Amino acid sequence: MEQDWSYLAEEYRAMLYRIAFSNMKNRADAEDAVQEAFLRYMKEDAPIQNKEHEKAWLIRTTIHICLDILKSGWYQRTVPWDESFESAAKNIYLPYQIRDDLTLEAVLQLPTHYRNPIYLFYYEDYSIHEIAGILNEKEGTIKTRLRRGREEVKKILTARNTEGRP
Amino acid sequence: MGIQEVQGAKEAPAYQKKKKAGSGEGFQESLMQNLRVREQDGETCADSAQGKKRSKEPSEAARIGVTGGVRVNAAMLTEAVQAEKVRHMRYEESDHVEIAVTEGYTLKGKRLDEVEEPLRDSSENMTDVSEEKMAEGRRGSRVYVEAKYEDGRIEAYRVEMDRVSQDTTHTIERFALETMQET
Repeated sequence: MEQDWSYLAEEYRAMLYRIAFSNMKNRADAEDAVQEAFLRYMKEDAPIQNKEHEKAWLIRTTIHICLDILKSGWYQRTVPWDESFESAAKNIYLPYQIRDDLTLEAVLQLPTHYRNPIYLFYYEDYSIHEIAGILNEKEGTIKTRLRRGREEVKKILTARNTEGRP
Repeated sequence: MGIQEVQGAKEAPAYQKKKKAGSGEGFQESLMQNLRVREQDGETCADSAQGKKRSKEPSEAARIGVTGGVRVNAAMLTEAVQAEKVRHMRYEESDHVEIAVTEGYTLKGKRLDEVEEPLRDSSENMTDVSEEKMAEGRRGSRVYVEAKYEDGRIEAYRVEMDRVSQDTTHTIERFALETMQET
């Protein structure tokens, strides 16, 4: 009897898409990464202990897939044709209203090692303990990256304000 | 055989003191003097070492207070803002969310059910709730606010909205006002 996987898309698709988008910065690649993560999960033989484990596995795999795509030679030689980064950033539909799109855009510009902890902590509301588990890092490392990433966000916003002045 | 006496041996020299005579007293004196000065200023040692915080501002350790078994930053507590047990509310459950990446915190707010609080009293059951109590519940609007900080701390507050000024600058009170406006 075939297993029913439809619940995967219902429960995790939106969240995984946001995480993939924060890495890929365009809709098509983000959707590809999420689909690939679901496919890998369905083929995965390793026992999944519980819902939290399942969720963490999917997030971790999605991030890894994104990083693999970003590193690939093909990706580095091509550019997305259909959208600018600013318009693409508006494709992140969060389950709440945010008033500060500029900060989110600045977060999406961070290097991967800062971006993922900051995105998961602030925008997906994960705890430091959970992020450490998802990214397979120590809690202290996550705290440091959150602090340094925040400083980087400030620098990006300050630079943008300076550029915007007449 | 008795103890042999070494002939012509010099007496062992006394070890020289590393510090000059009287330096210990000098240090103690200056220490006591510093302590007296700080007592007059009302400064703690930690404060003076940083050289930034003034005497009227309590240290970070002092500001972390325990209120009703809930550990929160006491500087946040006001007449309207009281410590509450953390419920680990999700964004989806919140009425209002504030994400302050550059400040290092997130806030989640939820308007509490207006008649929920009087009914919680364990000494009375549902049928015993008087009209007066029900009216009290309706009158006083409350907001539950959960704050998550970059260092991993999670704190929760209950804000009594009838005690909050409309032009407040207090972070939690202002956020609670926004939560009321959202709902």
